[in-house]
Amino acid sequence: MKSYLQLIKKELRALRWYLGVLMFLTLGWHLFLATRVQRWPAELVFGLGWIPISFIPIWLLWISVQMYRSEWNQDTAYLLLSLPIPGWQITTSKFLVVMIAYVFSVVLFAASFFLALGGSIMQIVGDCLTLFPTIWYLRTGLNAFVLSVLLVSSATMLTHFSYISARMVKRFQGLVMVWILVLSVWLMERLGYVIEPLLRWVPWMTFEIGNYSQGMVHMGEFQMSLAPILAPWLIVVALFALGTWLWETQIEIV
Amino acid sequence: MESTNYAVYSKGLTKRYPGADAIRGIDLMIGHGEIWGLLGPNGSGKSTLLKCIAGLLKPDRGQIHVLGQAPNRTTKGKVAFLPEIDYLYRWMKIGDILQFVSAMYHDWQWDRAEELLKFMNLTHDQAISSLSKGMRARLKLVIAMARDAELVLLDEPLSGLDPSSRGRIIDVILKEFKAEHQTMILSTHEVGETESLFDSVIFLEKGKVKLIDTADTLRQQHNLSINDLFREVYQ
Repeated sequence: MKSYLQLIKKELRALRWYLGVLMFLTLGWHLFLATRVQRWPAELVFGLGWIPISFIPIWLLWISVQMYRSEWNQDTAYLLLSLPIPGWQITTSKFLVVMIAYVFSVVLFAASFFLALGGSIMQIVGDCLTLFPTIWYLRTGLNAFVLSVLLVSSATMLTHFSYISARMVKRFQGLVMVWILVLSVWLMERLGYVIEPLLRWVPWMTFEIGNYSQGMVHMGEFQMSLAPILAPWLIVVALFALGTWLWETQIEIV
Repeated sequence: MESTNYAVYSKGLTKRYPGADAIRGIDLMIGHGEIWGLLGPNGSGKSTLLKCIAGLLKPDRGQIHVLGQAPNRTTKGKVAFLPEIDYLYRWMKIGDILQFVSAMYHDWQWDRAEELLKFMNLTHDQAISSLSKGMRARLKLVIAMARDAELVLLDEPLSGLDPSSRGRIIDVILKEFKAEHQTMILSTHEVGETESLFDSVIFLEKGKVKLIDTADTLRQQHNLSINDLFREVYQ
């Protein structure tokens, strides 16, 4: 376990510059918008405030590739591959740190948005906030976060699997990686469809939906089966496990 | 099994790279408790052979056993491998990399690491990115020798270093090698300074073993020092 903690610590420290840049850009953008509040329409400022979060998925995919690529570019793969530790410790430590980066980036975005633009947000959505009970916002936010974690974790695992698999060929590794990624998504969809009936026992997810009409809010429930989401996710986990096996047994340093 | 008697045993070991065979049909029986010199010019297959022993490359043909088994996670825990290239995280400090590596190996010895650091004129708070080539080479040797590994593989530890760094590295190898339970394979083409270290020597050429014997036998048979024999073989 000591080795695993050291690996996680190493990945976090390697990522600190990227996290710093992200923090600088997000805060900088929101502070800039805060100076525009009185000059630009509040709706425009509010809309532009969402821009940083739209880059987070691309940023996460980029760091997912970068954290493996840098091991080869800087020759540190020699060190990693000569360690007497199970492959899962290396692959899951990298995966875990991407997920930590995701949570960090979402929290950073939310905090920066509300701190810098809280006033203008309240101008636009202030009335709406009073329409639903606070617990509704918390539950809906949590559900959306859980779904986003499943989505981001799938994208990260597929990217890591594709990168490791592409390392097995000597040439055109970038192109091969993209092809493996495309094929993996196809496989995830097809095999996910096949195993989905096996997961029908999984409890359904309940969303509370509020309908606003004629000055009244009517709360209703919407239930969603998790099987169509979990099935492809399990295929992704299996591909990630395959990538871990490849890392431990097939990847070479030439 | 025959291979259990040796630190390294290989039969018909072959490794191909695209367009060329890096090593071809190498048979080795390296006993315990000796320092072996792995000699040859650039491209002779020294690094490839060491990577196969370290478990970083898979043979295309033939077999290799390290400490009685095919290279795997267990053998990696018993082998200390110092590659020729700089394989350390440049953004770390010396203290960070020592903490990192020490957590990975059961045979890490902190007292020995501290002693070696001091001898090599290195300190925990130095950033790896700020070290000279000679200092980085010394740090790599500290990492390899601070362990009580059964098999130590040093790939060109003296390559491109100034005389003072070379001297320190050779001193450490002599001082820290424990013949009662360690075996060392040292690849180099700088034979003059390292000749006195070797109990046995392998000469590689174009991926094949050209000469292999104890250093004393080779000296007697050819009436030459290993350094002179190296020049004669590869001229």
